[in-house]
Amino acid sequence: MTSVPVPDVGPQGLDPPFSPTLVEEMLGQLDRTIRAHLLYLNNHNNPSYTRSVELARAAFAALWEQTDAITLLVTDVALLWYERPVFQEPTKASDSLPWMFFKDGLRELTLQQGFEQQDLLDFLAIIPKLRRSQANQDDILTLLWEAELTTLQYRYVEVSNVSGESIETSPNPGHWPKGDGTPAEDPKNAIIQAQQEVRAAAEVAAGEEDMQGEGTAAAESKTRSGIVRMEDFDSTLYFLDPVEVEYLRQETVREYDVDLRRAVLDTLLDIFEFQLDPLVRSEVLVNLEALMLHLLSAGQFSNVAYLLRETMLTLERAREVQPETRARLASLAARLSEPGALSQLLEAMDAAPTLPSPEDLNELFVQLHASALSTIFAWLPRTQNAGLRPLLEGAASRIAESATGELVKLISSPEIDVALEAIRRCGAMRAAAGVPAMARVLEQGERELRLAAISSLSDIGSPGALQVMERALQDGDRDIRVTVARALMSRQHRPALPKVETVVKGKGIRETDRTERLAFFELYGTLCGDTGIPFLDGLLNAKGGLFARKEDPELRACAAVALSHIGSAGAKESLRRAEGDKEVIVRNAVSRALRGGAQ
Amino acid sequence: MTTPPRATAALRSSVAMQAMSEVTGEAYVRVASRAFILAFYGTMRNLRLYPIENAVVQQSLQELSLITGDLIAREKECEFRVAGEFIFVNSTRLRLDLDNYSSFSALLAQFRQNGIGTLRARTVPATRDWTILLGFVMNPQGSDAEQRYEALSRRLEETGVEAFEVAPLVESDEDHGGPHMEAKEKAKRTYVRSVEATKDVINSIRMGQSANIGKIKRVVQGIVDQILADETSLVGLTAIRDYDDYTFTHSVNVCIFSIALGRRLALTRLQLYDLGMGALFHDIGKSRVPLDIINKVDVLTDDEWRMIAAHPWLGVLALFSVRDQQEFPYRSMLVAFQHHMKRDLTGYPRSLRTKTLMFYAKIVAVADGFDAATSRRSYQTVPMAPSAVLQEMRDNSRRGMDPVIVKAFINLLGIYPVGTFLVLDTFELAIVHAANPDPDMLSRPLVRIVSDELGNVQYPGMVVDLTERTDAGQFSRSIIKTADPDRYGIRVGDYFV
Repeated sequence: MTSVPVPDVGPQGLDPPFSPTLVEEMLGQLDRTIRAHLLYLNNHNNPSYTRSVELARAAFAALWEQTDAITLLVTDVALLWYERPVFQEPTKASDSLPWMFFKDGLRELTLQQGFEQQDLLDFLAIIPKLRRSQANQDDILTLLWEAELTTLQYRYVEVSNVSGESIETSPNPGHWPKGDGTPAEDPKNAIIQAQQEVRAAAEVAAGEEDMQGEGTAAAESKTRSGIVRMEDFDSTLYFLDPVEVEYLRQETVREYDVDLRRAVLDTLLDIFEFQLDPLVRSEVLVNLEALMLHLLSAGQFSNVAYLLRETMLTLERAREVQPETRARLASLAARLSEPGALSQLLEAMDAAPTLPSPEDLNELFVQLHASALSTIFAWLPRTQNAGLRPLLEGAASRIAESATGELVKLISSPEIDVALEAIRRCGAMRAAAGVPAMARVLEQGERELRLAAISSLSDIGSPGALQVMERALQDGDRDIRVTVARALMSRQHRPALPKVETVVKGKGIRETDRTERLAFFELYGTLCGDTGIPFLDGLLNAKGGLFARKEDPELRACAAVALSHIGSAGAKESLRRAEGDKEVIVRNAVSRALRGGAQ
Repeated sequence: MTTPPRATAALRSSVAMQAMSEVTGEAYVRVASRAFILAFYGTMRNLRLYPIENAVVQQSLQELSLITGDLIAREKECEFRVAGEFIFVNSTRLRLDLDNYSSFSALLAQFRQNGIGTLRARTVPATRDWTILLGFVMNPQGSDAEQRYEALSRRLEETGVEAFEVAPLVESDEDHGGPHMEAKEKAKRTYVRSVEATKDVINSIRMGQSANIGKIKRVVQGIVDQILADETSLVGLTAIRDYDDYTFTHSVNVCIFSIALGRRLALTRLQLYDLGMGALFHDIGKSRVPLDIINKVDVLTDDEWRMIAAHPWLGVLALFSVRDQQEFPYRSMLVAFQHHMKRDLTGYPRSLRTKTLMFYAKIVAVADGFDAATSRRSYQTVPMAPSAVLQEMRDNSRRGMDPVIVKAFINLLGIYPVGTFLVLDTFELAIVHAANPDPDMLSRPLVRIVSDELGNVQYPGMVVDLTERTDAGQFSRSIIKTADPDRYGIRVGDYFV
């Protein structure tokens, strides 16, 4: 494209070669497409937007049937074609197409066939930058220059107050001396001196012919006089040979292969290490912090990780670092781990159409501190990004293993998701340190948390954990009780027998539902051994009669199950006596118990 | 003839009047003329913004009358004449400075637009006279300069304004210079805008204000475009070597040299832009070094040298305040940091992590070294001859320049760079105008003859190609030596403006 300052004149007095309607329609559609581009800025797959682009292309296509290019003059309120307004916008607002061009100096615009392809999209990409730009930043001319649109040319006038048309010569150019008071020789002296030196050089050269081998002296003489011989200058010395050309080409490639951000990080850290002035170091820190935020926003996670790693290295090496500066530099990683910062980061990652590479993300997550755990736990259940979840899981595991204290603390988190995750991980890690906290959860936590705590305590399986679970046998929630009973059964926790015995021998057992009843009897059977046979036999084989009640068949069936868990000869004997029981449910339970043996 | 109006105390105390009262002779004319231009331009601007009866406008008009009256009283005449791109006041040509050229150019443009060649004040103009004249100048009638001039003359006559006498603009042959003149003018515009924008940015950073990055980007884009279209004109302007504004012109010169060199290295347009931004900002760190140290004439103390040597890393910190919409100027930071490091990293500042220099930093190092060595500065009143500098860069590896880049740089500038003062074998004196476009003839540049063999001055002098041969096949002219133009009081810059 060309960009030269010209007065705003167009083709004057000529009739347009075809109807302006096509041009009007094209510009109208272009304006609508620009607005659609801004409306759907974060979603260019939106059907309305893609349709708008298609319509713009169709409008251009219709125009290109009549011409290969179209030139428009720009005024503050209109675009003109052959002096006719083909697009008008009377208000000089930021969304006015003519004003957008005009205010930055653009006066003529030429669109060529093919603009509607990639150049149209690149042109649309410029618009949001214009709308975003603040004063003293990029105008449309700057952005068009950068965009290098091959099918769009423009001409402009400078609208700044810098015209710079002339650089002044001295008051009397070509007059010697220049008259500013500095002493100067007569320039004729230069000529006279040169003539003398030439004569001297000629004499030396003549002497050279008589005195072979004194080229050095002649050369020195030449140097002293300042006279040069053109033959000495072999211009081929200054040709770049193919090796040098290749070297320069490689250097250009290397220039653009360099990770600029990382190189600037290195530079800042170098400055920090070598400059002992606290004020300088403080400024470097401010810039490092700003850069870190910028890198995070740009998704430059490996560079953030690099920054955090290198700051620790810098702290080890740098001399005379003041305590507050040291603390501040060391806190960069901690700041990233803070809930606010990390939430922003995870939110951006979760919403990103493509994630950075796992290596980059892992490199970053490795730098997170214990304080990041709560945020990660909060995100785990709600992340939408399938690729992100395993990485967060890994990060959570790593931090939890190295910071068990933080993990335990999170069991008491007011955020249920966080507490839940903390409880689960304690169980998975068999972290006995979490038992007291889980005990508190069992006493007063949400139901979901209590269920999770029981599962984790069971996984932990320490005496303390089981003891805590024991207390929950009398929990007010039926599911809790059932879960505890089963968990204690899996752990064969005999100390719970008295409590269990109280339950199975109590009147309340008859009020419980079948599942709970069964769970407790199974537990009892697991724990009581032969000492429980008389009681269970009494339930199973009671005859009933005038002064004795025959038990409920379901309860008797539970007794049969409990006996199967005991599995001893005495238990089997009790079961055999009930083989012919007239109650089907009892008969079946006995039959299964005898077949299955001890559970 | 009316006597000059007695100025109020408020006006008399104005800086312009104070300055005028302190000088005499030609110096007075220059000061008064400069004051007049600024007042003229300022009055026009105020008339655009406020109604005529506004106090600001009235004060502007009074000041304009005062200055004119003072000129008439002391010089017995007050005449402004436009000739080509110059303004003459009472036959003295005005000196343009970088901090007043916008007013100068605006006045010039107004005169030209209205076809005014001469404006003479017969008597001290009254406020009404100025109002009528300026009103017409700002809103001319007529479709071309000639018609506007005629309409102005009629208007002055119809309204009874007798204080002014106008004469039409006479176009000289110099004004129709053809494409070359247009390219040269464009180069000058680009150069001056670049220096102004650089000054604005560096001063902003020095004062801790936000910098106008948008203007700088336009400047560099303009330099890239200019180099791609016509390298010679812009490179030639680097020979001006403005001592007073060295910091700013140096940055622009390094930018020009770097982009021109980058073009020779087949960098793309956008790559040239990246290089240019880095080059323009390479010394930005000096905005954080006290001016008295930068301008010190005597030998620097150790502490002062350390402050100067800090400018590379200070540049990195300074550039954190110069931010684009989305990105920091990373590449410019690296160029600023590395441009004095030398190829073997034995320069300054020290670095643990830099293992190899950026390519653009090496390019800027060469351009920077050349321009600095060939410029007159506070501590270097006698600069090195350009050809000697190139030789030093080529032959002295301790300078730490990349030899391939130096070679390419010599290819760009020629063995005798633009601005070199020469003695030819015809004993004519010449100044190198441009490198010979023939790469086989780097040692035979295009030169401008500035004196014949008898020492008779020629201005502007003709440009000759040192590859021209006589009928016998010998070179018509050859260089026999270089010389120091300052020794003979020669202002090289005059031959490039």
